[in-house]
Amino acid sequence: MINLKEKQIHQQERSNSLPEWYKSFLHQRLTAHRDLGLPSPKDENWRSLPIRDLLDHNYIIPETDTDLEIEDIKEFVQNKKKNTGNDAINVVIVNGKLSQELSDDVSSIEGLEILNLSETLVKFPEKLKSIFDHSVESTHTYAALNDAKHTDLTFIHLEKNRSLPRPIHCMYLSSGDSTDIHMHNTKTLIYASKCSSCFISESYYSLNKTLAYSNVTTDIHLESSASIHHVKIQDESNESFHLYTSRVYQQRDSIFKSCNLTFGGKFTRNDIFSYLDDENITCTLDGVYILDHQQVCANYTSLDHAKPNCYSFEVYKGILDDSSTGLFNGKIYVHQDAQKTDAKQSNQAILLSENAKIHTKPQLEIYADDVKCTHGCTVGKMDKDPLFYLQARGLSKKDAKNLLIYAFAAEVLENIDNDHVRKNVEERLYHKLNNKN
Amino acid sequence: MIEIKNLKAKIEDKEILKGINLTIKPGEVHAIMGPNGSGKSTLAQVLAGREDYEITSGEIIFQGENLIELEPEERAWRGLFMAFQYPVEIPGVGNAYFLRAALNSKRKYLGLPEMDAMEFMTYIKKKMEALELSPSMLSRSVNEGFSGGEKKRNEIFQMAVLEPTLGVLDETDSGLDIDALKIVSEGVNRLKDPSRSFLIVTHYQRILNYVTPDYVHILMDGRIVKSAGKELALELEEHGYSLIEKELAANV
Ligand SMILES: Nc1ncnc2c1ncn2[C@@H]1O[C@H](COP(=O)(O)OP(=O)(O)OP(=O)(O)O)[C@@H](O)[C@H]1O
Ligand SMILES: [Mg+2]
Repeated sequence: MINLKEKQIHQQERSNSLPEWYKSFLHQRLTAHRDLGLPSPKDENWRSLPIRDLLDHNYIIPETDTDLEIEDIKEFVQNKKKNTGNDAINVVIVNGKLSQELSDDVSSIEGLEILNLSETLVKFPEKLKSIFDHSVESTHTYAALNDAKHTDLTFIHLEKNRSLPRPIHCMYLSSGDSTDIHMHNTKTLIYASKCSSCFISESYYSLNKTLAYSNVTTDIHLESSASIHHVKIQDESNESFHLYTSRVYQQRDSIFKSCNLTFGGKFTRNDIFSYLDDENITCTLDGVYILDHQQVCANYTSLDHAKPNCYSFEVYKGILDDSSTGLFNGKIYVHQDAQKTDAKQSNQAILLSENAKIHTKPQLEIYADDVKCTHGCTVGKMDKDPLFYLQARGLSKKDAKNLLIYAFAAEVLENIDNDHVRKNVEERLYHKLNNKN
Repeated sequence: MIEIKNLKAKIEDKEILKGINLTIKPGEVHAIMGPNGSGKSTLAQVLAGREDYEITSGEIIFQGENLIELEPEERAWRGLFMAFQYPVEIPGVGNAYFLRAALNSKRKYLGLPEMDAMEFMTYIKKKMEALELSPSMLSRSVNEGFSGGEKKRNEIFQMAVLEPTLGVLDETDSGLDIDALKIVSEGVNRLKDPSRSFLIVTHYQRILNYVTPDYVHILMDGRIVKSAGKELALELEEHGYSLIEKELAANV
């Protein structure tokens, strides 16, 4: 692992020490990013999103570490750690770099390794390469940029047959710079070997209120019969741009269950691509986004059913107040080969203000004939009848509203199996609601 | 207790209450009967403070205070309770949590300390048993998946917990089997008290056999057209509303 204070090795030196296949990956992805270009409002994939803000700011990708004093971060990290429970394995990543000093020591935990780039290249080059082989396909311009421009990465490896009793909590801290706008290309790879299982959460926070870009990729590889319960929480400041791409690759009999939560951020875009590449795979993609003021959050999910007899479940819920904008785009692609696919998608949103906007687009492309695919979408104001019922019994209007919003989100939140994480998320939701109306 | 004066209400430009006058004194039980669509539920909902209705004139004086400008919760805190004709299902909101929150907001208004979960359980145990509600319903969502009869018993249970000064029951007897009707009526009778009043909206005489009204009013087309003692309900049961209509026609 790299010490935060230690300056990054010179770019030239760094690239000299990298293997050829890695360098060609960087090169290929940079070309891909250049070919794809930056988004334009006409872009199919960015339409309906207010992207001017995103494009108006020129960012730089810092080549060296910002001079963050570890002491300043320590307190922040300690406070956050209080929420994760005693059994948690805390991993701290600052501006894209894994921090040894701030993270818990995992050397005594059997079957788990958490490594930086150079360590990964020594220990798991083949596994890293196999993940990259899937990433190469991706046509998301910001993911390509991350693939090309990351200077370090965090590789979480779970060995075969290992079922981790303790949850892993990754805490991603980013800081803005007062003179330039920084883009941090944070890269995480999670590799679950055969028959392994774990709970892992990713939480994104800002260290200051200065505008910064987080350009994130989290690639997740599940070998056969592996199982991952994943929670991602975007809780950066309302000044941040947050672009998150997760590429999930699943093998036979594996189970991936994910909950994607957005509270913070000025502009957040989550892209989750799941590729179900064998039989009897289960993939659950759930999410809740709660927005106010001018916040923007877009959730693009893509489920690729490539083989027969797989299941996917998807529930996204949005709560939008003030002049916020939400977007849900749920793509389900059932290949010709993928008979007996069972895919359920539902997407619901409550608009709490006249000025809030939501765009939704389910996209079902089905090329197999014997499948069960359902999708539903409901968007509307808060239902008056339950509100009146609660008020008539004595709950204040504010409490009644909050309780109903909470109940609306609960269908998703109650699927989070880790009590600490679920409670924190519930508190965060209450906190956000209570600072309003 | 409550004095309703010349109350007029409309919804979407349609006038539904066309000048209601009604006074209920402490300890009294009043029944309101009337054909479908005559405005009974509208009256109940307007009393409870539903904002979809526009009050175009009149006053609702409850214990000396005009309720018209108050939010539904503010009316509940002051001791008004309305049992819904169609209790609302609220998925995701637990019964126990909801009812304790309701009770505690009223207690807070009254300057009483909050009840914690333990005290609350002790407080409600007997009340639940009396209404033959299974304790498992506490952990279920409000009214979700309840049978029609369970929903109505739950309304009376909530009333027993919140101990209002005026209980407005909107067709709580509809859809109940004979045993449930008895359980619900006994629930109401247990709450009878010289300082507590009831306004019972019903279509049938049968609940009035258990809960004896002091007055029976007939609401037709948004107005109370006739008021009398409990014998009026029996008369209605026998002759229906046509007799009243004839009487009214004769008076014109
Ligand atoms: N939201 C609404 N929009 C339009 N009309 C309404 C609305 N609510 C009630 N009404 C009308 O008001 C009238 C009175 O309805 P209300 O529910 O008060 O009748 P009721 O006496 O309780 O009838 P029932 O015996 O069937 O319960 C009816 O004609 C009804 O259609
Ligand atoms: Mg009615």
